[in-house]
Amino acid sequence: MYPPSYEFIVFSIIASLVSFLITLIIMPIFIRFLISKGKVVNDSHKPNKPMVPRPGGPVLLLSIIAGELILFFMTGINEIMGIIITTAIAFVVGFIDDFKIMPGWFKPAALILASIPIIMFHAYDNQLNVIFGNVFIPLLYIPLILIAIPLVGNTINSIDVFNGAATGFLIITMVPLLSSSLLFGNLDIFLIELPFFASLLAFYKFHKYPSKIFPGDSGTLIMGAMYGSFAIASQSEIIAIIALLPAIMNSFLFLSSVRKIVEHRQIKARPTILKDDYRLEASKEKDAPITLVRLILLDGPLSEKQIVNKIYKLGFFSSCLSFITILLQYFILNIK
Amino acid sequence: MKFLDLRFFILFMWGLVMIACLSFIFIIAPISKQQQIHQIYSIIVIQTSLIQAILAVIIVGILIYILNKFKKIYLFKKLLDKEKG
Repeated sequence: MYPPSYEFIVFSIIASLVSFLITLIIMPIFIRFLISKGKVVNDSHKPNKPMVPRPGGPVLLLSIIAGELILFFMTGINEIMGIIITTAIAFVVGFIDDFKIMPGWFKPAALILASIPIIMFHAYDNQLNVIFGNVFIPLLYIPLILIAIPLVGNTINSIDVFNGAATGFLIITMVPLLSSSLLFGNLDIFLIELPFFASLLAFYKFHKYPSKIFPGDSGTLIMGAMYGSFAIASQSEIIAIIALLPAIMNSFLFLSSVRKIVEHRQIKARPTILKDDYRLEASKEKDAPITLVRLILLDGPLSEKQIVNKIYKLGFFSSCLSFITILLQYFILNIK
Repeated sequence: MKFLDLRFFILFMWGLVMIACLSFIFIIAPISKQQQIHQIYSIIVIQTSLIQAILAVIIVGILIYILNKFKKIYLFKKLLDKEKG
């Protein structure tokens, strides 16, 4: 482990501030622009179904790229460019999906393309950190990257079902990832992660309940691709997997009940039912897919805000498990 | 924490991830040591990578099978509990 230069820390703070302020200042302008162009969708879980602009992905991308480019030009670290291109490709994939209903296989297949810059710019190590030690897998790591980015992208995308769920969940789960990067010697990567975290914090102001804008597929795929890229670059893959367990559980339950990769809009039987008092309850239909929210609602009907809070609590719980794992790794490293 | 709590499901998944990590250390890592001895990009590296890939798929496959079994028991108990309630 070596300390990053003083300049790098200053650049990272500046880049994070730029990312934060771009989202904070440009997002309200972009919201008005989307409304004027009629790019709005129903927020169907609220009385009178208000129209909410979508997607917020373009501003999110702009803010993240601005911050990361500052760091790239000031430090010349190649990994940053790999992560930027990965995020940009994920954005394009999501942006297509925002405006055109694509088949279920489209997003996972197209996101494989997004993984390629990580490999080309070698933003990974040949060793997989598996908490109890490292496993040297120079060739095997490449297909792992090709699987990881689509998986994380779609996992974050699938949890974006209520106001602020994806953004709040990701903010919570970023904390163990940042801590892991800081503790295990990837200090450069920790500083590169900060502009993304700052951008997420600013975006949460607009996405939280009641949402002023939805991120859309472009927004959630940016978040997922970026999170996955940072997990790989900081050698914190297992820590990231543990932090994302509620979202992974959601994808696992969905896939094992539907038994095929399918776009959620194409499923006729809904996992939840909206009651007259705008609370949601679990569907009793046998064909309805099993999701995390459906399981949450098996205990009784809840409002949208209550469900989102439950998702945050699960994110907090999995982040605690991540911290336990970080401690475990820390002690094992010290014993060795 | 009760069995039917969603946190228990997440805790179970965490246990499986830890088992996967241990399996990687005890099964796949020893093969990697052989790989490190030989020159990179030689035929031996490709062979050992293939063996590693097959073993990794088997380990993950077994763990997903266990998770699937657990999911069935969990859902059955959860639905039973709901009916009683």
